[in-house]
Amino acid sequence: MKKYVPLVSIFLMLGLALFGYFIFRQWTEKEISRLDKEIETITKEVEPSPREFDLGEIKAENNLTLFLKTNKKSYDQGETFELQVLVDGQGEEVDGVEFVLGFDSKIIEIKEIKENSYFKLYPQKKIDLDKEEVRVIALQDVNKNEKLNQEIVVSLSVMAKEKGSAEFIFDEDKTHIAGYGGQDLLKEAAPLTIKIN
Amino acid sequence: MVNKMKINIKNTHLPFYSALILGTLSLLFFIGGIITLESKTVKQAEIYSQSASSSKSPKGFLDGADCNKIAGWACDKTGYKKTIDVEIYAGNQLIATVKADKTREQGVCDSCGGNCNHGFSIQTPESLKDGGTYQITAIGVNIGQGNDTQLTNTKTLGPCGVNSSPSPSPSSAPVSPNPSGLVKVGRCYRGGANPQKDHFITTQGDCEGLEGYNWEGTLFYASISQQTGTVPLYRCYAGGQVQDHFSKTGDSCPSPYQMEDFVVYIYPNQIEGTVPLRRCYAGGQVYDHFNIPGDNSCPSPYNIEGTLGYVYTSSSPPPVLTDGTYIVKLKGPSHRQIIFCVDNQGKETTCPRGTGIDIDLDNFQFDFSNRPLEFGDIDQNGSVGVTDYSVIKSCVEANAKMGDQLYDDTCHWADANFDSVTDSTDIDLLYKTLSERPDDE
Repeated sequence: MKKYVPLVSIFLMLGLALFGYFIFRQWTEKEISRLDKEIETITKEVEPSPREFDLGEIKAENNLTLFLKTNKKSYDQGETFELQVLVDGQGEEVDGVEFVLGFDSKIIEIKEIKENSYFKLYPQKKIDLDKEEVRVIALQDVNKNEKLNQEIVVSLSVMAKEKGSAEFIFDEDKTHIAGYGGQDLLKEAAPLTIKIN
Repeated sequence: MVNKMKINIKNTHLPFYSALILGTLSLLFFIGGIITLESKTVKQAEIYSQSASSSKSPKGFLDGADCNKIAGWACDKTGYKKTIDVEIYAGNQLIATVKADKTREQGVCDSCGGNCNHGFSIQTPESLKDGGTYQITAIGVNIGQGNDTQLTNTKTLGPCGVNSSPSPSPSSAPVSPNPSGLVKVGRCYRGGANPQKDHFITTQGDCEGLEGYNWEGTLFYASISQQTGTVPLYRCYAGGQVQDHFSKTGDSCPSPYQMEDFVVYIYPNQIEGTVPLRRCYAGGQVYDHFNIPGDNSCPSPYNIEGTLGYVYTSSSPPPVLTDGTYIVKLKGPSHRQIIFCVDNQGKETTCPRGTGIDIDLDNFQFDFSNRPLEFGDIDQNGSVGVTDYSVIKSCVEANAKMGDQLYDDTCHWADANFDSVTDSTDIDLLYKTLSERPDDE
């Protein structure tokens, strides 16, 4: 019996060492993880924050909407139709509209983006087939401050390729209606679903 | 024999030696584990501590300390919109606690997250006008996380006030350095028969409130804080039957003149962009001194007494660069601005605003070929778009230009080609960015 005492002592010491090690390791890892998060927070905080401007303009409510319109709710396969992108300006001065509109290139094909007469400048008017999106930036003439009610921003010429539901969804992070010295007046950019028979 | 002994050890002492070896190993394992992890934790805590304190503590600059005022700016990285207190020390003695809430120039705004109300200024306390010199430091009092932090720069104040002239005390009208740190220095004049006739130079446009003196105009520009290679310019005064001011470098005045005040710092040797500052003198019945910048000769009956030093005649002198980190804004050939932020920046990348680049003064050259130029995210919302256009459009409509409140507050951000006015060129430049690369930022 006596000869087992050293062996038992070994295992006891080993067990104690391992227990202590893992307890301590758990505690330190937790602390390191907490500090890492704090450092990350600090790093993020130095990123520039959006500027707020006061250009002496009247502050407007951001309650303007961007929406889509077609003359029918469903189209036949192979048919070409017009999809209008409209802005409801509610009588505000609108300096420009930009949007990114996603579509399913398996169901439909966008053949052309047609400008409208209200907006004078179109620095961006692009159909990106890889990203399956349409990107448009439309600006009011720099010398004009016309009030805007309901206006067409652009008209898209769309061809129905395959049967199914063609969803048109705005990327709201990249969709804006600007007015009054840089204010974003967009409240909602409403999607649209068209049925292709 | 050897084999036999080995067998003996194996047979009789195995448990003991095994226990000893394993016990030692496990103990070492335990201690080693603690040391490793503890050192990692300590290191991490140090990183955290450095990051936290450098990211959250106050920052600022002590611009100047003279016999009239002590001024600078300070803000706290915890919240740039919050006003912080600044403790001003003369040596180890706290002489004042002041709120840093005065409006400052754009450079300060940029350093304080776009908030301009972070300047501070106090009248130099009378207790420091005892002829002594004092080391002035300022401490930004921390709010939130971080620590109280000494503001960049220290100043030597004085000597002030010793043997002060019977003239009224200098006015405490604020001196407003322009963004280059220079203040205007003008000449004040009092006419009349001797000994009334007198000139003196000052940074105060109201002639320091001295009765009978009128501002003749700005003579030159100089700094109220000591720059490398500059020396203080002092003003001496003799009252009584003399009633004459004259200026000189060196802190003593010949009898019957007495030291009146420090004026500005000037260069004892000519550097690029500076002109000589001379002193003219007429004796006899006139008995008057005045200063004149440039190579102009003194009008009769005055004669040139000598050159005091060298000064700028423009508020925007050529920059005198020292080694350090700068934010570089450059106007490209097509009037678009570029900001480099890192050394050896890739040609495909643009960098976020507000980051510096190290410039080696011996070789500060950049290769601009194929570098992307950008202008556009005026409202700093992360992309170039119609809201940026709308800001420029409003600025163009308002015809905002440098010197206007609107330009200084806002529209300078929309001035793409830095020509001090927001106009159709800026619109064109934004249009170009919108046409080509609106997704880049």
